[in-house]
Amino acid sequence: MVTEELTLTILSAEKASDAFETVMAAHERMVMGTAYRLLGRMEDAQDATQEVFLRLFKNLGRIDGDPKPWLYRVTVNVCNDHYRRRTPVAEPDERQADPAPGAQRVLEMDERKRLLMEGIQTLAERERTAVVLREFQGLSTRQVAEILGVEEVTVRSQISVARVKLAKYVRDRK
Amino acid sequence: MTCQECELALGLDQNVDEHLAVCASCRELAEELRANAMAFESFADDPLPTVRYRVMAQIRSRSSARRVMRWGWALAAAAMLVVMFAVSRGTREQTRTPVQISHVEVPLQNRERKGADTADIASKQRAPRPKRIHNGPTHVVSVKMLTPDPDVVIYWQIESEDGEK
Repeated sequence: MVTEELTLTILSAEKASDAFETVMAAHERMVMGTAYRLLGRMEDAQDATQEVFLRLFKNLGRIDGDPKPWLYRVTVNVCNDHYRRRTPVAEPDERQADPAPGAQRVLEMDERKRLLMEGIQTLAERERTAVVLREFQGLSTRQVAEILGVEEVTVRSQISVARVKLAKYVRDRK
Repeated sequence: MTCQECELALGLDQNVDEHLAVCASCRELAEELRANAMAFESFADDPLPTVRYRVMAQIRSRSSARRVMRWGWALAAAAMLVVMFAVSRGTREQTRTPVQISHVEVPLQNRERKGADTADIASKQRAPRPKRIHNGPTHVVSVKMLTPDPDVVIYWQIESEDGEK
């Protein structure tokens, strides 16, 4: 008698979602932060973050190694799509961290942050994306260039223009 | 480098600090740039809400729907295996004992005999076949299917003769 055993394994859905939750916990802040700076509204950022992670869950098997570059790329694309679709008047959140009483410096910093968030929404799409990834997320020029699929020199120029525009925006509104 | 306020083009050898010392507009802008750089860093500490529970709830509800579908596929696959096995066995038997059907031309004048000839052929077809005796090895394929529930494992054992699967 010849006996042959074939084993068909159905991946446990429970195990897959538990593993995914760990990945999400590690990267959620990064995605949410990027989405919030790009969109300027927390509700939109939450929707974008949700969409990004649902896409990640779908494509988990196709991503090798560190999912960060993939997440940044998809976050930028999802946020740019949201930005183009939404109503033209974009009012950034005016939420502020609670300042220590009488701390003038904290108040000034909060006011600057609020103005920066407003100013970012006035930038061109490429400048906004480049400055958010470089300045807020702390990525290198090379990483930003890879995520956006452009030359490093282009990113440098976009960031330089964006910085000056933001500085002028803040100065004119103080 | 170009001073955007006073439109003064600076050469590479020209000291930026020297220019800032004489250009109030650029000095002010440089101050803003520096303050903004500090502000960018402080954004990192801002609290952000979480959407993890929202996402996980959505994923889990999709997963349970998919699990139902997956069970359906598993059962369909099992049924397919059984059907394939049955078909292959039936084909093999047909090949070994082909049924000979002879066509009988009945002349017009003997039309009343036609019914009797057809009955003869039919009785030949219905005659019981001699039972086959197999001396070859029996091939057993055991299919084991692991399910999302660790306590549930499905086994199928498909037996075929003459080493054919």
